This record gives sequence, structure tokens and C-alpha cells, in this order.
Amino acid sequence: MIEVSKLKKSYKLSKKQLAMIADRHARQKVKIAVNDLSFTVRPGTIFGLLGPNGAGKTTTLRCISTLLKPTDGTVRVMGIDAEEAPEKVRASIAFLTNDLKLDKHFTPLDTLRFFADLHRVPKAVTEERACALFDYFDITPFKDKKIGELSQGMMQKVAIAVSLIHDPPVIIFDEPTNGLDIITARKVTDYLKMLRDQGKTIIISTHIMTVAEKLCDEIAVILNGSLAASGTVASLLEQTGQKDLDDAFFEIYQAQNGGVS
Amino acid sequence: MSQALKSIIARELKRIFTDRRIVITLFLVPALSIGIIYSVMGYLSMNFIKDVEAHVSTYVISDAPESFKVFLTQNPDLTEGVELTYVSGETVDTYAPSIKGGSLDMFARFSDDFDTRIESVESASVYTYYNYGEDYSEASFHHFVNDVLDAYRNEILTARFENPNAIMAFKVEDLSETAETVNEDKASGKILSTIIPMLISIFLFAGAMSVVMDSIAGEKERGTLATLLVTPVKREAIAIGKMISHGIIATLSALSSIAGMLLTLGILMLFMPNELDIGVSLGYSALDIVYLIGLVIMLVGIYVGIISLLSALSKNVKEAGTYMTPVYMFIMVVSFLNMYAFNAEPIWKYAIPIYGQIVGLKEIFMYQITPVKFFVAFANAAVTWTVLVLWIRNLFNNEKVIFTSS
Repeated sequence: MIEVSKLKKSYKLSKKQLAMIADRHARQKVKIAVNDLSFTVRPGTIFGLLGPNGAGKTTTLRCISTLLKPTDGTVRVMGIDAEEAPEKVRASIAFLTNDLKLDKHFTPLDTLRFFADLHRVPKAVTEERACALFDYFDITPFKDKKIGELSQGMMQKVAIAVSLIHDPPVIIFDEPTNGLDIITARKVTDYLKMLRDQGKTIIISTHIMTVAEKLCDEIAVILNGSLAASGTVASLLEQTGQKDLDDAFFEIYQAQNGGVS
Repeated sequence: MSQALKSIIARELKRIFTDRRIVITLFLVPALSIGIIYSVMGYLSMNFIKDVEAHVSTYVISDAPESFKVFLTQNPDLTEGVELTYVSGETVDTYAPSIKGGSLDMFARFSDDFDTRIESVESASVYTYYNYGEDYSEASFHHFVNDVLDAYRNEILTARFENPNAIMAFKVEDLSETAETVNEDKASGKILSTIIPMLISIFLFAGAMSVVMDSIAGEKERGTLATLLVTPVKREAIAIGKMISHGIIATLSALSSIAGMLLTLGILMLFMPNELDIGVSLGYSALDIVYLIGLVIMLVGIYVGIISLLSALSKNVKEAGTYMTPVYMFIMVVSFLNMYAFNAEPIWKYAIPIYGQIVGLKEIFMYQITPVKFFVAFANAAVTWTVLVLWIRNLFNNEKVIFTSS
């Protein structure tokens, strides 16, 4: 279970960052990345954060994974307050984002074993899970190659396997299919569905409508750091009177911004 | 030690030792480059000395008195390796260009009526001319004045006074060596203490620099540090794990540099066994060795901590590198500071981080360190290290530091 309540995250901009804003009047010292955001992700569901680039999706996921401290509001993961016990929260999540990279010097197997150690997974269990994850994501033939020698897609699959090695109850994936070919992307989404069926709590962010439509049980549309709409795909279509999520999203975007920019 | 800490140390060490490029630059290059550079330098300087010694000096002496010529005939060893030409009535003007050009090493002229003036106990002079910019010329001059003329003067004095003691009054003779008043260990220690602590300090810092910068600033830049930070491992365990492994690597790298120096010594002894006598005898106790290891560990801990801190503050390796240069200069200055101080240092100096440890290393070689001084150095290192670890932990918790692009 993930409970996000009135989450707010703002940054103070440096002078350099301020100077980069062309419009002098628009220059404000504090940038609000996420504002008053609340939602709950229940076990056995895949929750999608949908929004354009810069909407605040990654910031929200970073706050849930304890890498960022909320300016205001609370985040609870499996009933644990993320600010009070960040280590406990980190022990129960898998966090995947583009900013987090694996050391290219090591092999997938080395890396998997190392992170399993950090999560205190018993050795025998590690080997068993490594085998299963490598087999599922077709990493086995490459498990002893250096990560630096692998293709971009293979690296992404290794990163997914590494993030799941401790079999956590909560999964937080930021743009999980980014940069993957259609077959691999399908494998990842199928795996996420399988994890959902096992009762895991899953939250992903995406700006790809088809991914959200096919994968997510619930969706929160985030625009400019705030929640613009939420619900199941069907309910969002109903709310907006559109036939597909693409059009529904556009409708919500227009309503929020008062027209297409 | 926690499992996570062990895993982090093991991984950091594996990261270094399985990277051939790093192993070569960190462990082999220092040993080989120092070995080769110092060997070549030592070989060249020894060759230079031998070359000067082997050189046949050319003197031109004008108006040499008969007594001098006879004296030299009676003492042929004084003119061994010297080509001597006597001339009369010449001045330096004729020979100055040759001396300047290097074809003649020295010109000397005796004052007029030298023998007569000596006999009548009047003042007499020998005028010498040489080129002090030329090594052969300078060596010739010193030989002529200190060996030849000195012996000649003594002979004149012996002739003048039946008993030369009448003018000499007394002699000063240093018999320290026969009376065993010299503490050989301490004398040797003095040689070691000027150079070894300074070298250990500089080698340790240099060894730590590249590894730590890459492991912290580099991992930040590559995004691999954030991956580590999203695990349940405590920040301080990550900081300590990295610092311990880097300390081990820096120490090994410094050992490689020291091995290079020993290699130099070995090479020079092999090629020139007779010329090389470093005159070092070691009498250090087991406790001294414990002190030495302890102080090296303290120093390496502080250095790794400082470099880790600056690396954590930097966005990337390049930025860390710019911070490192002034710190390296500072470490060098501190390392040089007490090179030539041989008195026992007051205890408060041991309370200064870095300086205290270097002073400690120096005093081990001087046989002046005491358990209390060692403990003060240890306490200062422990406090410094704790402050650095906590500071780094806070930096690892600081989102602005971890996500510099945010």
C-alpha cells in the first residue's frame, strides 16, 4: 500500500537557474514541482502517473522512494512513514528510474548478488531468484558479460531484474518501458501484471498513453505538479466523454490550461 | 561488521582489482616510474661525480718558484691526473679565453721573487684564476688550493719552524667514532626522518585521490551512487565502506611508490656497489612498527575522508579535480613543514589533524615518540574521521548533493 497525502515538493532555484528563465517577470525563487497531491495505491493494483514531461511524476516517485524529502505532506509505504523510517521503506520497495544506473564494470550476475546482499537476501534465495529473473528477461546468456558491453535494452532489463531481486511488496517504476523495443516492453508489462496478480502494490509513471491504457488499473493525471484527474481508464473516458485515453488526456489538459498551447 | 559494510568494501576492492587499467596506473606505474626516474637520476649524478674525478685537469702555472717545482717532484701523488705546464712572465690575459672556453681548467701565478720573499719571511702570494661556472675547473681549483698549496705551505712552515707545533698551537681531532659516543640508530633515523614521513604523506594522498574521486564524484556523475542510496543500507555504512576500501587501496598504492624507491636503491647498489653507502642502520622495535602502521592508517583515513567529502560536494570528477589541487598543495606544505626539525615536538602538536600524524611518523624514526603522543595523534584522527564520516553521511542524505541536476 502506498498512501500519498497532500504531498508538496518545492525547490529553491539557484541564481544560475533563475538567470536561465528568459521572462524576467516569471522568475520566482521557488519552483513548485508537486503541489497538494494525494492518492492511494492499493495492493494488487497497478497505478499509473500520467503526465507530460516536467509534470512532477518523477519527483513524486522519488519522494515515495525516500530519495527526496517532501516539503509538505506525508508519504506512507506499507504503513511506514517515509520520513520517519526511510531505511524500512527502502527495504520494501523496488525503485527503477532512468537516473539510477548500474556500474558498467560489473556483470549482471555480480550486480544482482551485490544488491541482494545489501537487501540481506539469503544466498540460496538470491541464486534461485537470479536464475528466474535472468531466464524471464532473457539475460542468462549475458549474465557474465560486463554491463557496459550490453545493449541499452539489455541494460534496462538488468536494471529491472536488480531492482526486483529482494522480491519487495511495493514496486515503483519510472517510465519502465522507455527505450525498450516492442517485444521487451511487452515482457516488462506482462511481468508487472504478473506481480500485480501476486498482490504487489505497483506504481509507474508514463507519458505513453497506450502503456497506461493497457497496464494501469488506476490512473492519476498530473499537470503542473497537481492532480488534474484520477480514476480507472473507463471512468476517465466517461468523465471526459472520449473514446480513448489519448483524447481523454488531451481534454483534461485543455480544461486545465484553458486551451492548447 | 555488518553484511552490507562487508559487501560494499568487497565490491569497491573488486572494482579496482579487476580493472587492469586502474591496477596498472595505481600500483605498477608508481613503483616503476619512481624506480626508473630515481635510478636514472642517481646513475647520472654518480656518473657525473665519477666523470669529474676521472677528468685530467690542466693547470698553467706562471713564475713557479724552484722550491714549488721541487716540492711537486717529491710529491708526485699531488699531481696525479693533472697536466701541468710551467710558464714564466705570463699573465692571466693570455689564458683567460682558454679557461672560459673550457680547454684549460686553471691558471695560477706566483708573486715575483716568491722564494726570496719566503726566505726573508715577507708576504708572498699565489694568484689563482678559474671558471666557477665549469665543474672541471671548479674541481681543479679546489684540488690545487686545498691539496697542493696546503701541503706546500705546510712544508714551508716546517722548514721555517723546526717544530711546526710552535705555530699550530694545538690540533682538534674528532674521535667520536672510536669512543662509541654516536647513537648510530638515531643518526640513521635523522636521515630517514627528513624524507620518509614527507614521502609517505604525499604518496598516500596521491594514491587516494584518483580512486576516491572516481568512486564518489564519478559514481554521482554516472548515476550509480543513487542506485546504492535507494537500498536500505544506512548512509554511514556506505560512506564508511567506501572509505575503508579506499584507505586500503591508497595504502597499497603508497606501498607501491615506496617499493619503487627500494627498487631504485636495489638497482643503484647492483650497478655501483662501491659508490653507494646510504649509511642507514635500523634499530626499530616492534612497538615502533605498531606506531608506524597506526599512524599511516590514521593519516590515510583522514586523507580519504577529506577527498570523499570534496568528491561528494562535486557534481562530477572534473569539478572534484579542481578542488583537489589546492588541497594537494596544502598537504605537501604540511608534509614539508617539519622536514628539518629534529627536536622532540611538544605534545599539543599531535592534536593537530594531519600535522600530528606526520610529526608522529617523524618521531618514530627519531626514536622520540611516546605512547602518550601516539594516543593524542590517535584521538585527533578518530575525532577528525568521525566528523568527516558524519558530514559525508549528511551529504548522502542531502538531495541537492545526490541529484545535482535537480
